[in-house]
Order: sequence, then C-alpha cells, then structure tokens
Amino acid sequence: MRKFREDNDYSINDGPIKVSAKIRNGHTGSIKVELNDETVILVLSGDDVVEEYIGTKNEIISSDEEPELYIRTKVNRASDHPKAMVSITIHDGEENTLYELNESFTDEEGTVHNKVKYETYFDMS
Amino acid sequence: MKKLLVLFLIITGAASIKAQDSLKFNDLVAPENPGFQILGISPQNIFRPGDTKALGTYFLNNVDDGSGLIKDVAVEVTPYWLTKRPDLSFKEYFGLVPSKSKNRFFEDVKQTFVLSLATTDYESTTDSITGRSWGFGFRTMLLRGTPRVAERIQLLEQLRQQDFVSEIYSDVVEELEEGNLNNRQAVLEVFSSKFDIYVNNPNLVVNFEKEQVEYLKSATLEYLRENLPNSIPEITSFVEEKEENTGDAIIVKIREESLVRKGLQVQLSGASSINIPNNDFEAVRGGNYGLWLTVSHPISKKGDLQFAGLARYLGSFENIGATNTDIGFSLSQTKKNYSLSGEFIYRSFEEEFSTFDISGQSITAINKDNSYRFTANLQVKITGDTNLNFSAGKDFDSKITTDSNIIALVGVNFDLFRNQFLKF
Repeated sequence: MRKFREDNDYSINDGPIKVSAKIRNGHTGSIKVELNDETVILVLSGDDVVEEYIGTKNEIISSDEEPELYIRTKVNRASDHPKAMVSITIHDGEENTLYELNESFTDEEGTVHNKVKYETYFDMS
Repeated sequence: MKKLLVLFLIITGAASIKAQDSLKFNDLVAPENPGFQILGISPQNIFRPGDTKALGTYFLNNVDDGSGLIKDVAVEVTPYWLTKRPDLSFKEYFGLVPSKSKNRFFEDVKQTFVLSLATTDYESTTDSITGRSWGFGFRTMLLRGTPRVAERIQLLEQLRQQDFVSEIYSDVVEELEEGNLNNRQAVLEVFSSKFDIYVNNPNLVVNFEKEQVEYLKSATLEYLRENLPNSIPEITSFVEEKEENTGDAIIVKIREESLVRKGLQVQLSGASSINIPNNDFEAVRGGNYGLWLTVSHPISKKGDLQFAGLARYLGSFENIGATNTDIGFSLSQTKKNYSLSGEFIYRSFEEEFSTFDISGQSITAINKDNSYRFTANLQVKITGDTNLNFSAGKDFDSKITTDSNIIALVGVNFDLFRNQFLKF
C-alpha cells in the first residue's frame, strides 16, 4: 500500500460547510470523514462517493481549539487505470474549492500496489 | 504405473519430435502485441506508461541521432488510460450500472484500444544491408460480451466487508502511532471499541447493516485473540501488515473477473512494419503487414464449451502481391480434469512474380495454393500443473518436403489449461 499525507489550511468564508469526495478512474475504495476525531461518515467500495453536511461556521468554530477536518481515502486498484484518483471538494456557501489526489499505484521502485491511502487534513479557521 | 507412463512417453515422444516443429495448437489466437509479432520478436521488457509525461520521457531516453529510435524499444500504450477519467465510477467500469456514454460501442473500442511499438535490427536478405526495423500494431475489442453480473455483485459485497475491516485496522494503526496503547489487552479492547462505534450508530457507515458489523467484529476479534503477537512493536508490525493486505485477494479477483465476459466477443488487431536500411530515413521501405479478426463465443451456459474463429490476412510490402489468408475455427471443452479441442484452418497463399511468356514478353504471373489443417487435442491432468497431451490430425500440405502430413503426438506439458476467453 502506498501512503500519502497532505496538510491544508482552510479559512472558512461564510459557510455553511459541506464536503464531497469521490474515487474515480474506474477504481473503488473507502472514504472516511472525521471532524475533530469524531467519525462523520464512512462509505465502502461500490458507493465511492461522499456528500456530507459538516456545519455552519459558528458550529464548526465553537471552541478555542482549531477544528480539524480529516478525510481518509483508500483506493483499491480495480480498473486498468494506473493512477488512484480522488477528488475532494469543500463547499463553502456558494464557493467550491477542489483538492485532487492523483498518485500512481506504482512506487519509485516499480512495485505495483493494490491500494493507495490518502490522509488529507484541513485545519479550519 | 508411473514407470510405464514414462516409458510410453519416451517411445512416442521420439517419434513425434519432427512433427512438433511444424505443428502449433491454438493457432486461432490473435497476437497480444501485434507490433512486436510483425517483427517476429518477443521482448522481455515492455514499457507500459501511466501517463503522457512518462511516455514522452521514454521516447526522449531512447532516441538515437542516427536511426530515430534505439534497438529493442518495446512499448505498449492504452491511450484511454493515459489521461484522468474523473467521470468513470467503479460500478460503471465493472458493468454494474449502465454506461453514461451515449455510444457504448465506441466507449468499448476506446477502453480496449492498445497500441504497440517495437524496434529491432534490420538485415536485408538480398544485399546484406543493415539498419533498423520498426513495428507498429493495435488491437481493440469490437464486441466485448456482457459481464457476469451475479458474480460481480458477490465479489463487490466481499470487498465491502474487507474494506470495513481494513478501516478498523487503519484506526488502530493511528492509535498505535500516537503511543496510546501499551499492552496486548489494550489493543484488543481498542479493536472492540472501534467496531462498537458502528454497532452503536450503524448510520455512520453507508449501506451496511448492523448485523454485518457485529459479525465482522466477532470474526475479527476471534482471529486477533489467536494471532495477535504479545509485544507492542510486533503488534504494530502485525496490524500495519493487516491494514495493507486486507482485501488484496478480493481486489485481484475483481481485476480477473473484469476480464471474464459471456456472449459474443470480437477482437480486431492490425500491424505493420517499416525497414530503415543504413538508418537512412530517406530510404525507408515498407515491411510486413497483417490484420487479424478473432471471434469467441461460449456455447454452454457454464462457458466450458467454447467456440473460437479467426480470419488472418498477412502480406509484405517488399514482395508485393504475396499474401497469406487463413480462416479457421475451433471448438474446445474444458473440464476440471481434461480439455478436449478441435481446430480447422483453411490457408490460401497467393504470390505475384515477374516472368516471360512463350513469345518472350515480360508478364506478371500468379502462383496460388490452397491447403488446410485440422487437429484434435486432448489434455488430461495428471497431477497439479502437469498434463498429458494427445494430438492427431492433418497438417498443411508442403510443396518442399515429401514427409507425411498426418499428425500424431503424445507429450507432457506443465501448463494449466489455456484460458479460452479473449482477455483485455
């Protein structure tokens, strides 16, 4: 399994915040969404798409601590496409911000893996 | 019994060696890499790029100032998969939901269109001039058949369960990385609590029943109680390995299943070669060319009785007018312990050549020849991957030798029965 981690800072505009994520290129896999270490939703192979309401700006930034949105996707190499494509969109009111993850199943040494795991963190403010 | 069998094989094997030179069973198969076959080569290392950048880099690294490309280039490209497919979902790819594409035929052709390119040394047979030969080829499915939906739904359900367990392993890996766990019992309790999140709130996992979560919890904990190591470093390695490997076997089965289809399948392949004497591009000559059309259709419901047909047209730019046309079909029955097949190929050869008529005028004459071959083949599994092979039939007529064209072979091979499905 290839593992990737990405840390992003996201400044909430007006909200409310909704998150969507999908696995494509014909592959399948699981998507887990957490807010402040609490599971919000988990989808498994065959569903491959998440569209989940997270909350208003005030609901998310309700404490002194910096809120953290965490999205973990594990892509299974099910199709012929050589790359594990995941697109994550943060919907902030009318604004959409797209984050695209598109790594190969083949590592630097030429080994072809059956899974790619992406861990994407958003420090919300 | 085994000694008798070996003695029988030695006696019959010696008699059959000569015939084996000319006989090839399963001729009714299209070339997997037409661009390589047209040059008569079988490269060991084939480059299959994952994107256009990798393809460009490969060609840049293999350019030769003199001859364009260096020797032993072998590349196979599926253009459809070189770019991102942000609209292609797994269920659509796996044939579990209808395609969003308006024209399924062109979508299938695009998905299965494979290009192959290879280079090798060129040496003219007439004037000893050397240089480089390039071979280009393509293959695509014109008809792909239909997927085995029931089998695919079952595999997807198994994968969903494995995904879920893999998610639990990932959660526990995170706890171990944070250093929150210091003994085996604590790890087992965390596993139990991670499952309980979904037992207590089944709505957190989409389209998954509470009973499934409870069953997977019980099965996983039972397995862990027996197999989880004792020390934390060993436990960490064990859980990380499980996170990586859980579901791998099903993923492989899904990739294999995506190749298996029922119904009519038709594959078109083509190839051509060019020769570059003295590596001088101004002197480029056409080489050989070929076109293959392969048809496959299961006859029985289980797919163990299979029909295959092939039409093949081969020619040469260097010897204009010389063509070879083969049309053939085969029937094969594959069972657990034996495989029985029959194959018939009709061959038509035509060659134009310059000569003189009775009055001394230069004319173009045509030399035509038709021949056919039929063979029957029985493979019986002895043990494991070892098969006993019986073959009989008639080979193509030969103008050069006076040997009999009756075929009778007995041999042993160590391959499993060949998969009769067209593969992509």
